[in-house]
Amino acid sequence: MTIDDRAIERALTALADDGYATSTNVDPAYREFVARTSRAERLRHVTRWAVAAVVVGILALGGILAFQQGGDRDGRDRLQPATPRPSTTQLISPTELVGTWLVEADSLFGGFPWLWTFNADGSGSGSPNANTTENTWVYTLSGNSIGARDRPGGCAYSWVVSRYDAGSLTLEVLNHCGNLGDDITLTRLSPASPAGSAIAMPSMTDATPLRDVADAGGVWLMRGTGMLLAIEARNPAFATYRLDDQGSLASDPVDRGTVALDATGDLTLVSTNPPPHGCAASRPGARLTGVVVTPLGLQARQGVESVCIDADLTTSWIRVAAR
Amino acid sequence: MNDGDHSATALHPGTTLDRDVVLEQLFRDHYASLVRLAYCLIGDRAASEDAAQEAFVSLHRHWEGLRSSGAVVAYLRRATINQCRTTQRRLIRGRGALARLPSRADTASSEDSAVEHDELRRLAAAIRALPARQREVLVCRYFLELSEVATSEALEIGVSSVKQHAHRARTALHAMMGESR
Repeated sequence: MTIDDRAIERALTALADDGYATSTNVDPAYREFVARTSRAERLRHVTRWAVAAVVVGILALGGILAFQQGGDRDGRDRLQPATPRPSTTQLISPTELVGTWLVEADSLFGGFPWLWTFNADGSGSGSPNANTTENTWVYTLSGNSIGARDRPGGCAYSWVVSRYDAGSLTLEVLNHCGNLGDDITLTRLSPASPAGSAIAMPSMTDATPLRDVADAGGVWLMRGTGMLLAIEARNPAFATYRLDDQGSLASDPVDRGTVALDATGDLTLVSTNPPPHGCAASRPGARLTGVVVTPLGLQARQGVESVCIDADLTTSWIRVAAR
Repeated sequence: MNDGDHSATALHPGTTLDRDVVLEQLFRDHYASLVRLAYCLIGDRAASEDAAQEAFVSLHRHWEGLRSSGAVVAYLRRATINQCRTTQRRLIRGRGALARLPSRADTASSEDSAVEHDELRRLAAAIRALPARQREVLVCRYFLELSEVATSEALEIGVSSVKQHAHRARTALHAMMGESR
């Protein structure tokens, strides 16, 4: 079959016909639309009233406080009107934001975790799999507001930092590509944070020996550390890895190379990075022996040998993103 | 789905017609084509219907800000595409989307048409396996039949990016169709 314009047109039309025939009665869909717009209108009215009520409440509270302060003085000072509080303290610094985060937000991501990376230069990327630059964006942190926009063009996002503590970040969603949703919870994995290091190793009771490198595909967090290992194994004949604990897994990992699996379940990372972090030539940089896996965990039951990769690798790894 | 900018309805938001009347006509004229557009992008019928619905809800919300009839249909398309991008992130495991593609129940009447039909199905599956941006460009160019300029506006990317993605998409399709024989 020649792939000309007409063939692409026909293939797309056939695809669309599978999904929705033009002859389908749209009456039920229109009724659903009317119901949705009614709900949206009601929500807007409720929101307006709620905002107005909050504003009135704040003004009233400010007035009362100002009155009390004036009353405490002996009358020599003139009563001053209440003034808004200066902007609140920045909860997370730009430096703390830079790194790779595990993102959980059921309402926005269908319950699947994603990895987001914020780089120091204002760029970022994210994905739910080992292709950590699948989606790229630019972002700004101003006070407690984070704005982002997909690159090139695409969706805009606006969040407010409502909490940050020891690597655990909570964002209130103002606009998530035109959507509202529940708060987003992020845990910084790399560079290491107390919250990321505390992620527990899943049970390996039902683990099976690794026989297909594709089963090792995904992103893995070395237990108790900020070390991430991304194994891209969509093409099992040419699986690759990236290794990083500096928050730059997506853009500039500490080490990278290819992955080989032998019949005994030994997983070898062949570094293609030069020293000081990688190896002088393409040769085995590290070997995980007797590897067993579950959907959530990977373990080298017979140990790990770091040959020339400048990283102290250990045996237990937690899956933080799908293959 | 054709360009769709030439609807018989008096579309523009500034019309003296009641907003709801115009919106209903717009819905009846364009809902199906927007669901089909969304389905080409995400391959999930329920999610496609939801994307088209939300595009109309967004149009309802921003009605006052639209200026021309052409802008209305373009707005609906952009909103649908943006909804699809969001939905895709929700559906995740984008590579699993191919598995969700339904198989058509109808059978071809002759051997030739059956072969041709199978080839079209394989090509459609290959298009679904393309990276999202390449697929969006192909859908705009060959399904919506938009020009390169109109595609760049719909996807909010540069014309050169449209050309680049289209070229890469065709190269990838050739490779995929060739490899799978």
